[in-house]
Amino acid sequence: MTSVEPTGPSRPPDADAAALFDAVATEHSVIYGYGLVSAHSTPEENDLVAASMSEHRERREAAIEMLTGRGVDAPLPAAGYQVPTQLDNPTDAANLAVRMEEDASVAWRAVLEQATSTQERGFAVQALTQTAVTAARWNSLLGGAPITVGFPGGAE
Amino acid sequence: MLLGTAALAALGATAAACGKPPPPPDLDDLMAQLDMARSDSRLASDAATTANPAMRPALAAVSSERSKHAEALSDEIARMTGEPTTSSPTPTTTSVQQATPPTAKDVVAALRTSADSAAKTATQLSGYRAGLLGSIAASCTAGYTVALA
Repeated sequence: MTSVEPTGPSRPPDADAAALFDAVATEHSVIYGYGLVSAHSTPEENDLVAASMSEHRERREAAIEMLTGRGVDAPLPAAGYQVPTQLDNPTDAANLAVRMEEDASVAWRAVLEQATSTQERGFAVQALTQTAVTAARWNSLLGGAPITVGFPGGAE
Repeated sequence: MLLGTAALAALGATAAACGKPPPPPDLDDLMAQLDMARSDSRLASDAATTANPAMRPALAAVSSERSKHAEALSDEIARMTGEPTTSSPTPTTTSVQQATPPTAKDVVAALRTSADSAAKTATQLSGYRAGLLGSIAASCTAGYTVALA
């Protein structure tokens, strides 16, 4: 998803901090998007929506702390985001969830590749794994096959 | 600039004098991951032959993903060493595995071990290699927690 009007702190020059900054911006958009997913999904999907949303919130807070810990101001959530597809029903909502988890996987794999500490890499691997698992849960709900991908967040 | 070139040339001469240069430090890690990927791929395809029909597509998907992991790892090893992978592609099946065909449960256990190992290795490497192993760990985890659950 793309933000409507990017504002707030600028992207840091270091590659590793920049990747983390981008990942926080992605998490902002995913959290916004899950609001829409929630509005269009069925009651049976409530647990998955709630679990996904809280996982992203928790991760965003932790990532913001990592950024501020190194003296970098975290990006702010945009006032609004452009959703890539129209949302009319639960299937559209689940497809958006899969797409957002994939976007998050890409962002966290970038953090993993740019990171300079073992600790930061550990955080990124965990984030990449969680987004891949959540994407698979949504795919499983959609009923397609296969529900997993070989290289979450990667172009291999 | 000139000084740099001279230093490089001197280094080259030393390396040549010592025969083959030492293997790159990440090589053992990637070779270990390659062996696990190949072995999981075989295990999942063996399990698919006797599993109940409902499980077969998921096991086949795991087998195919682990085989793609092996391919990506051997590509990276080839880039690193400048020569094609020499690791034995011959099956290293144990007598236990031959006696009883593997089940989906065995594949889950193997994927869990592989995911943990790839995740740990990802934190110890850097750049593309770290990213590749992170994606492999994520794929294995999604395989055993969602696809085969």
